Amino acid sequence: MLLQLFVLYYGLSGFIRLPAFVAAVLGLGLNYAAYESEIYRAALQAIPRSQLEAGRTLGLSEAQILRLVRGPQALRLALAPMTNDFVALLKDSSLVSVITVVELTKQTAIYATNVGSWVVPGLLCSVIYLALSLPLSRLARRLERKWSSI
Amino acid sequence: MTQALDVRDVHASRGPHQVLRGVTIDVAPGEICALMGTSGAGKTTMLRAIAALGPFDSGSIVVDGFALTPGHVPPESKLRVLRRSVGMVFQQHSLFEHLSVIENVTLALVHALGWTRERAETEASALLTTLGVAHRAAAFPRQLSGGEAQRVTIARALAPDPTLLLLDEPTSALDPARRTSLGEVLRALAAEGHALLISTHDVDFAEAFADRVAVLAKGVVVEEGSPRDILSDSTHADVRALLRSPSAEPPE
Repeated sequence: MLLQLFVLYYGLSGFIRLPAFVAAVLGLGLNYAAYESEIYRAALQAIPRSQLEAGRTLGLSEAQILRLVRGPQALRLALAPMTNDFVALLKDSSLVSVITVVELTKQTAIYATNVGSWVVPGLLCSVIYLALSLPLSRLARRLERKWSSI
Repeated sequence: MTQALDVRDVHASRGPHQVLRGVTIDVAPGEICALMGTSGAGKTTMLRAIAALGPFDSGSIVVDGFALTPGHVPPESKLRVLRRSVGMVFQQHSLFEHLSVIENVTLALVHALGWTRERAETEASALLTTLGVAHRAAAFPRQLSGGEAQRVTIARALAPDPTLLLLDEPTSALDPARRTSLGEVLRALAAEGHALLISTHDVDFAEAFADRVAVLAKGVVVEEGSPRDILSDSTHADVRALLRSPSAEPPE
């Protein structure tokens, strides 16, 4: 991850000078896209073939089978790992300070240095991270509970 | 009389292995035909070829006037007519897990046939009532017993009103009482004019409910006729093998 950010920002600077923020979004985005696609692939493949064949014999088109049978079930399977990934992405966002993007952790560090203490800024920082990630995992847990009850 | 199903000299292989070596079989509307044979005799391969889920190498399969060609299974867009005339009940569990019982039955009616939801639900409720599972309409597949799931699967396959219904080992998960009631349901369907082709190794079931029995062994139909003639008097070694171990055999 770190290495990829370095390559995107510094390594490519000989050919193209990406703004730090763009390089950060690209780096995080591409990296997590790779993980996410693996999750979706695994979830889609986990749907039993017999269900897909049942859909075909019932006269559903391939697109309908994906939309009505395969997709909805795969989404449920993918939900937990997907949430994990998004929370991890949130935490990994602190890495982009290495390519000069000032994000939450970096800003906290700057502020802490100014006031000469880490206690208040550090606490504030963790509260903000918590406030960002908690609703996400709460929502996921609620969906999961709703879907597993059926 | 036009047949609901007409299979002529069909050969099929799986990898290097020749599974079907010239199967000829037909089923008329209103008739129940039991396709019998031990595991590996090619029953499932035959059904899958008829349902256009698996390929066959040569021969011809005509379902309700629609001819399937040997070689690769054609894309779904070319199979619309066939899909309307063939229903299939799979051996393994195939209900859509994320949908309730009634939604399982209405899905194809609404999305493949373009019915309104109300009309589809009326039809589905009627079918579930016929099959004795109307009280489970709101349940989800994982909450059903084996027998209930089977009936829902049959209701789902019947909903688009297919001419030909294929059932792959429908009795393998059922106790004797459920077998009898399933048999009665199938007889009622035949009386309505559906053609039924049932793959089974359940001799008692075939004897009680089939109009005709075709015994498949080593990829060909070795005997064909009324259940009584075939199952009680046959001298054919393959039929005798089937009779010796009607229920001891694992599902295919």
